[in-house]
Amino acid sequence: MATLSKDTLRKLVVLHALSQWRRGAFGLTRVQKTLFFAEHEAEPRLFTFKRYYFGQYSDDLAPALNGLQRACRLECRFDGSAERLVAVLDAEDRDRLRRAMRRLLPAWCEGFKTSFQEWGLLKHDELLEKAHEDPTYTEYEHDEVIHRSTLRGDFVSDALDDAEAEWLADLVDERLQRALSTRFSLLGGERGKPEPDWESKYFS
Amino acid sequence: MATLNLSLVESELRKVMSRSQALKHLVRDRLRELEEDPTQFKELRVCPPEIATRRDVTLRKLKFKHQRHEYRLIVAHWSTPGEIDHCDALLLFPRKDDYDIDWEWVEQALKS
Repeated sequence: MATLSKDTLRKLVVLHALSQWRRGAFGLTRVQKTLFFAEHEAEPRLFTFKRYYFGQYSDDLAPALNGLQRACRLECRFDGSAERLVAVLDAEDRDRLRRAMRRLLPAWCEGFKTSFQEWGLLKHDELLEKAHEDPTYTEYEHDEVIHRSTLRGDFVSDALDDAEAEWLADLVDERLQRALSTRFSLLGGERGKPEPDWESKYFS
Repeated sequence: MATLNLSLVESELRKVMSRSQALKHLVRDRLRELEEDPTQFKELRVCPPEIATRRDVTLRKLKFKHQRHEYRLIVAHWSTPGEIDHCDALLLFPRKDDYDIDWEWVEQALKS
């Protein structure tokens, strides 16, 4: 049995979702819609969504995206007509994360698969039009909550062992890579000075 | 065999060892194992690009677990043909119950 914090779980879900767009997700609106329809019919609901100007929108996504940026797991690229949100993961980590998500959140993953096919690759104007025609938009008032997150505190699952949970937490830790970089830079690119007497220095 | 440099985590190391004699002995035994053969410890997959691109450095992770005390030590393992291996300890930290790294503990250790 393993426990992940709510923030860690949200960052992992968003990272996994972003990694499904081969060249990155074109625009945040696309990410918002794809995540909304991934979980609207499923449990657990990871984010609270409301009706907003561009359709179904969650305030919970910004902290997860900012966290992923701080963790060096998200890059925003401006090389076309729209900003691309690109997950920074190598192929091995991407596959491992996908397998972990399937064990951790099987229903959500199924919902995301369908949502990605339906919403993930639409042209921007088609995406907005479709989102504004959906009953989750037409039947709600501006700023009204469409669905609430069912996540309360930490997320406990028996689908992960300790080692996997530790890897997942480290993957999106907002300080680990920077802390390692900072400490490594103190070595100046070379091996540190050996301490042949480390036992007597630290353990006597 | 490898040489060790623990100076970068001296504050954290002394804080860990002050918890109990048993933990202190455990840490010493793990470090002896590291000195004997660093490759027996798992590679850390989460690695900054400037380290990941180096062919002569691998980050490795040691676990110290005794009763309710559980810590991780991350070391940079230097390996160059023709030279004796070397390990620089980079980070030492405990985890919270949800596996998140306890960065407050690290900050406290550095202040003490």
